[in-house]
Amino acid sequence: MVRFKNRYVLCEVVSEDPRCRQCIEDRALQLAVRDAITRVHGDYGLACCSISFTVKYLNAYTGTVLLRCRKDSYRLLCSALPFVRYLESRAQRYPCFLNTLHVGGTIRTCQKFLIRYNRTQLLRLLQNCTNEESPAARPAPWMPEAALNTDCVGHLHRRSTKSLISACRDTSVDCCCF
Amino acid sequence: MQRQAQKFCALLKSVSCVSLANPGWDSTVSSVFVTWCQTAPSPGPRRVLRRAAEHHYLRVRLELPDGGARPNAAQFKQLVVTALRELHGEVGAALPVDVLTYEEKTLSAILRVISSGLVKLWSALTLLGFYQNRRCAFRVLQTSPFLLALSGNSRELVLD
Repeated sequence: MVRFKNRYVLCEVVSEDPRCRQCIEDRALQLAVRDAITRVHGDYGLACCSISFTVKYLNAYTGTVLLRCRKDSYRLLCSALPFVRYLESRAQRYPCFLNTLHVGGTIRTCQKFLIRYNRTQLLRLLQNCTNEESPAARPAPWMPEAALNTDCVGHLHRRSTKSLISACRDTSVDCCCF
Repeated sequence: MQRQAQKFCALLKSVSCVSLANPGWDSTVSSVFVTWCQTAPSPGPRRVLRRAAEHHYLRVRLELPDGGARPNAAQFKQLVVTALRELHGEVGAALPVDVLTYEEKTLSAILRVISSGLVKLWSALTLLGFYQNRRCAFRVLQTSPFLLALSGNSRELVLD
């Protein structure tokens, strides 16, 4: 049986600037990744990786990105991801970096990984958060961001309430959430 | 032993670029050869290396239209690295390429590249089209994993 095999690269967009979240769109991300591949691997690398290159899934609240490419050129793509330094859209440029979480052969394996990863992340964030009001107990989207950010440290500073709710939704839904 | 030393000198002269006008060269080389034969250890079992050579050597010639400045050695290397950067990016431009010899008159050079990068270098040279807004072309005349093999070229043999 001969078929085209793909690799799905699961990444996370990490940025100091909270406004970068509005910049996370498929077109902006595609341009940024293609630009990085051209710089690192030249015309040959760009042509190799562009054969079956798309952004399959985006979650602007958690900054999760799923990229697809051919199995022959996924190493070129993965080696060029650290060279993405900013995302640009609507004439706004925000510095950020892409953290590679998982490389899988199918979307299903990446989703399974993402569910496990989000569960562990959620537990870690909730432990760090010393606020009395537990955000998971109250899934209302009108919860003020400030109440969450002031008390929690580290990683949680860059996450908003919406991201926690989105992560909750991802982990609780069993079937495909795309 | 002396006869063998003289044969060795003659072979070295024919392939190396040592100036033939040096009179003391013959005797020095023969004495070194004799000493080496006498002090070298016994051969032992034959050693055959199975892995490929670590460098590949290319003899190339750059074709440029007449008129206009010819690149010097540094500009030639810059041209090679630019070609690699265009086709293979920063990773290609970081490939260890050396220009061993360069003749500005004929624009021909001997390049040395690590064996794993031969395909990248050759493809980059093939696809380079412009030098300072002039059309140019790289012709690869010879390639070999051994530098000694580039000294003889049966294509340039002239039959009487």
